[in-house]
Amino acid sequence: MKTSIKGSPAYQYYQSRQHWMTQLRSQAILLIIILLSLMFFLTIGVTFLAYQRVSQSLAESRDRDLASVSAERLSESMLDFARGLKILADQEQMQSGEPTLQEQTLQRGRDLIAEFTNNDGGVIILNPQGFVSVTRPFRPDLIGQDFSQETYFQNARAVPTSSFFFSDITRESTTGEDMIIIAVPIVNTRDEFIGVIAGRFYLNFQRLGQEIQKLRIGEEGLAYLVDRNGRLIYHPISKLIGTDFSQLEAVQRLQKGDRVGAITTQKQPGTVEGYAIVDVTGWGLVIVEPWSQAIQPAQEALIPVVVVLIIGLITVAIIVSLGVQRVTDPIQNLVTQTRQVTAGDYDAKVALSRIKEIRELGMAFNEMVEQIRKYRAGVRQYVADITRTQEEERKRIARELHDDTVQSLIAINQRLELLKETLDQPHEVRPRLAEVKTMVTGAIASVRQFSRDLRPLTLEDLGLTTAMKYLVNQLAQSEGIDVHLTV
Amino acid sequence: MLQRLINLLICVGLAALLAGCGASAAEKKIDEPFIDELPPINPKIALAENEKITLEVWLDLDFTRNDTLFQEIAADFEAAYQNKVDVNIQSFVGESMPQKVRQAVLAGTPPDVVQGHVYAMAGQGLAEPLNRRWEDWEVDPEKEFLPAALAEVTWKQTRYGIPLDIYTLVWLYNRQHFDEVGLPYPGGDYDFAFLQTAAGALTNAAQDRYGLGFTTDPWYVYTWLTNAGGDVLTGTPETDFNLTLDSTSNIDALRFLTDMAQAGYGPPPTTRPRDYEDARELFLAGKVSMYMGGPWDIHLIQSTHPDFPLGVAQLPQTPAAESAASVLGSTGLFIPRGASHQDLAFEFMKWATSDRYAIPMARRLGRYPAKIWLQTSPYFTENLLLIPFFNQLNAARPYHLDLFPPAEDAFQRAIKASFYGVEPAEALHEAQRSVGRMAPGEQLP
Repeated sequence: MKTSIKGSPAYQYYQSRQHWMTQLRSQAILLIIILLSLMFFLTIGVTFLAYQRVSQSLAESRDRDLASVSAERLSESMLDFARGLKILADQEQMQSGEPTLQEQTLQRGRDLIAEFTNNDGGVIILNPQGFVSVTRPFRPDLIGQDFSQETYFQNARAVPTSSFFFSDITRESTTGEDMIIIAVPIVNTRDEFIGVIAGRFYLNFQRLGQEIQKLRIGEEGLAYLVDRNGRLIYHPISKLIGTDFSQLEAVQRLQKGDRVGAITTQKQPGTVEGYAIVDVTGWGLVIVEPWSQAIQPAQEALIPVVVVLIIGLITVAIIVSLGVQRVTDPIQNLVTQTRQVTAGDYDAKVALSRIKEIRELGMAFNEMVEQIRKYRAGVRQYVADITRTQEEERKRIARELHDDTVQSLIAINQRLELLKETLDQPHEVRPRLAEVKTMVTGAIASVRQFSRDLRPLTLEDLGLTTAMKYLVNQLAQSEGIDVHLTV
Repeated sequence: MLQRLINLLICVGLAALLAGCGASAAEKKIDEPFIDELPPINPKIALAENEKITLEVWLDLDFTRNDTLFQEIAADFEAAYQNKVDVNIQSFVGESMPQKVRQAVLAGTPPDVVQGHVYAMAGQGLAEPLNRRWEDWEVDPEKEFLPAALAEVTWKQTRYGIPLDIYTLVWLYNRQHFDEVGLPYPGGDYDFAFLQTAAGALTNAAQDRYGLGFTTDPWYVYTWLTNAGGDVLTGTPETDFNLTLDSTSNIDALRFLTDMAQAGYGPPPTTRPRDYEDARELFLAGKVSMYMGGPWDIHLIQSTHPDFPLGVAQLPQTPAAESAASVLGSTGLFIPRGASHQDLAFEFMKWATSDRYAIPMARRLGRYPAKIWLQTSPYFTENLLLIPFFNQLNAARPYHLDLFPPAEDAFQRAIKASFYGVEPAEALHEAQRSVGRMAPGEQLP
């Protein structure tokens, strides 16, 4: 059996929804809501962009300052490391160049170099030729190693009057471990270069990162430290330590000599990055804050705005709905009343709205209905009159027929009865026939007149006006009264 | 249009709901006991409404370097105390922790909780006694924690910490290398002679391959010595301690080790701090066939090199027979002397060592909590390669030389010197002489 889709509940539901959708009220409210929503989103968008700009500016400023202050603090920490080495380098026994005496000096000053010797890279002393002569803690694998080609040694030998040198990431040949070295030239009182005392930090031990680790950059921010070549000295994700970060914009800016600054990267995921040179070392500190975190204040600030706007939107929607209802209700009432009128109820009347146009429409409707009602009453009266006239006319015809024609025919009949009795009396027949003939002629004239009265020939021949004038004249003449006709 | 929009929203909502259900279902698949059971909070802990307490926690870098478990523990703790506590975790190389704690205590700015070898810390006067807190805790320590681990947080009958994990060293080998030279794998009854022979057979200079990976770390070398029946320290806190670095047994064991190094069975140790990591790296690179490692090595190798032909065995049998042992290690959490928030610190210690985090710690960090129930739990013993480790735990002896830092330093110098040509007897005698009077490392008043 083939089922029509039009009969299905789904179709009926769809039709009902369509019906709902076509209502003036629905469309008016929908239109208003769409317009308000557009305004809402535009307002939110503009406000968000404004907040975002302000937040970005504030975040950049904050991260720049934070990077600068942190770099200064880090610089102080690094200086502390170097200071202990410098004190030892200035010791007379250290300047003697004698390994045994130098070792004793390290032993005496163990507290000064505890940060290095505390299970980290330790401290080594290089002789003027760059060979390792002393280690602390004991590192037999390093004794006698030639480090003369190391940059820090060459720098120290080239400028022995300098206080210290911080190396970039360098690899320890015996272990393959990446490390950072703080080198202090040892110079005797005659300004002769005696060697180098070098403190070493293994990158893997993350010792240098402890100061950075303390930095709190929001919930998701981080800070990292790069050497002059852009390699990571410290990063919270320890697997990245030693990685080349020189391709990153903030690092490149540092390498170009930009001492402090901040940038915003739009590449996903966007970040706000503050950077600063760590003075004593020449390394760079970069503070990275996710863009989402940077604009979080903007987003949070937007919440009340959004709430207010949503409340406003709902309020406006309710007001609009009520307003539209005040327009659509009279119209709906008008529709209902019109349907009643269509159904024949001419007592229908709409209540007048306070809205001028709607009120005028209602008044026009009411007047129209009143007119129709009057017209209908007139028509009804007319029909009644016609009916009554016809009835009277019928009565008149009947009366006329009864009083005249029938009486004439009865009289003729009586004459004919009398004539039948006098057929054997010829002299009486002739006058009686003449009398009957006269009576028949009179009856014919009477019927003809009656016929003319029913529909005067003048009506057909001369038209209604002339016929009426004719009738008036006839009436005046026959009845002797004064009759006037006005058309 | 409006209808389409509503339909779209309904679809998005349903999709989100389904995604949520999916995630929920995935979470339910986690096969761990206590996954939904956070430890109880202590209602007696009074926290001010408007003031947030920062709890400074120092942990071993090995526990935080590659996993966020302790950050998660801290977050749970913070949430349990309505975020009125901020747990600030700082991580340091474990070997440097004692000196850092000492400096912090001396400076009057100790952290609130520290992870370390509690026995040594307590012996040096760096930890707060916790007997009263243990009593208030209302747990039966003997039923909760392994006795060996409890001993490592106890000094002179006073508990100074809560055990966190327990470990020992076992023998790790490359099965493929053994197959290549036609040697049987080290079983339950192999000895030093087999080890020496295998080391020689597995060494192939042409292939840049060595039989053994060496380390100069005193804790690791101690394993050799104690497995041969020796020890470096005798005595108890109640009696005097005696340093026995240069005992005959120790000299012979160290000589056996350095002789194999001299014979070229392994690359010379770098002597850098934590040079035991060098042995692991060489092992993973296929350049070393055997080395001593801990459960964390097994975990690391299995998680980062799942196809590696790893074999695990207990330490070789030695003439010491029943008295042979591996080294026993155990870290615990303790409160340094003078810490600011001791009540809260102890609550965090209880929290971090609770059953809730025991399995995650074992699975994610390769660190095995010192809980008795775990030893027989299928969640704990599921990894067959760990069986030698569990067996070895039954024959392990604690290392207490870190109680005397100068002695440990001297011992380490002797080990390094021995590997670099000095006769072990001479090196150990010199170390024994240099230490002088034994007193727990510059104990604080």
